[in-house]
Amino acid sequence: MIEKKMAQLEALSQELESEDIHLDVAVKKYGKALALSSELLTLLTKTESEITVLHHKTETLLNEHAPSV
Amino acid sequence: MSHPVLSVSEVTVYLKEVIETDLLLEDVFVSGEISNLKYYAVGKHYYFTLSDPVAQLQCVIYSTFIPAIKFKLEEGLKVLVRGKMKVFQKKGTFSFQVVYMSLQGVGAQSKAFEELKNKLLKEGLLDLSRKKSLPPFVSHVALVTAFDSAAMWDFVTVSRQWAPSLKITVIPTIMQGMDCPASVLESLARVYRLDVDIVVITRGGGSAEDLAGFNNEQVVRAIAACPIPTISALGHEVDTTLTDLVSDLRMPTPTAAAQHISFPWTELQKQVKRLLVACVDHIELLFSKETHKVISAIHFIQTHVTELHLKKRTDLGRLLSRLHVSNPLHKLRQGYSISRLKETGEIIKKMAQVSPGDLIQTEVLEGVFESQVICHD
Repeated sequence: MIEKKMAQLEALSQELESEDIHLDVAVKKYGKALALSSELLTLLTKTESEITVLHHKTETLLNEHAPSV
Repeated sequence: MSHPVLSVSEVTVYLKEVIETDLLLEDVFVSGEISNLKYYAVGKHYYFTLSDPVAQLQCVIYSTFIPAIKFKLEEGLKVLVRGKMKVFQKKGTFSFQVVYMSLQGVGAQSKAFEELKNKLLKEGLLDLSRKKSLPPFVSHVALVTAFDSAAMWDFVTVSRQWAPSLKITVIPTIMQGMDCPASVLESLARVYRLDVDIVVITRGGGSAEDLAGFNNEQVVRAIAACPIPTISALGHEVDTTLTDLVSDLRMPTPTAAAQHISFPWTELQKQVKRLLVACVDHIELLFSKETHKVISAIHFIQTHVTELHLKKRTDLGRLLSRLHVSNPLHKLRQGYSISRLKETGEIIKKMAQVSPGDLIQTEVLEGVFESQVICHD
């Protein structure tokens, strides 16, 4: 999901950098790019939170099953 | 007519009077064979049994009379003793008090013992080479002994302690007296019908007469011919019978016999325990190594996921910077505008794109207006 949205954002960014783009089109694409950026930020924040939880769970599990020797 | 009722004391007093005043028993010569000879250092006197093939007489010779004896007292000697009968009321026993003793030669029982021993030696029945090896691990033992005797319980208790899995079949047997040889022969016949690994013939200590059955020729030959390995544990270590000599192994006591049979099992148990501990240690070591591998893999994955996430964060930050620069309204707010040729929609970037009279559409922040090129340089 993140990869796909990042690719879309990259494509939009390239289109916006094009010299021939019409202003109205550019404005629409820029708006779309901002929305996409917001979604990506939310996704990455959520992922970061999940990673933190998983790290905690893993450490707990490893402590419980730590070898005795 | 009612019978008179006497007390125990009255009976023993009566016996004492009858026996000790009897003219024959007052001073009598008795011939017999010495056995169970014991010297008591405190009183410096000897106790022994005087016997013939069918009876025994308990004797004592006090220190006063010992110097008169001109030979060394030994078991098996045939002697002529002179003395008198003495009754001990408190214990209700009697004893022959010896005042003189002369040697008559080797006793009949000792002689018979030696003769049979020599006969068996000549036949090779006592050869070490014909003794059968005991199986290293005995699973089933036939115990030829008196039922519920101390010897039986000594053997069973020690076996249960050290080799609980050992199967013991007790063959109740008369282990002393006239009926002993026949009973032992019958027990051996029963043993043949059992699926046992060894036969243990055992009893506790006793007098030479008590053990006489185990010098019986039939018994000794039956044991020598027994196809099953035999262990004898008769009496104490000092009491040697012909059964001991023909058995495949002689042990001093029932306890020692049980220990000998149990020893390989206890050693095996120790060995198995050692191996199990080694196996557990090895498995724990392997488990530890594998656990370390799994932990390393988990840490690698954790690091990789974290790095991947950080990279995405960085990529997004870079893209957002680019977007910020690409904001189309940003330049228009600063007063810049975009002009196109109305006819083609082409953005005008160079002077060569326009000619006088061309219609031009110009975009600013809030809208679009048209204009016409009048001239250019």
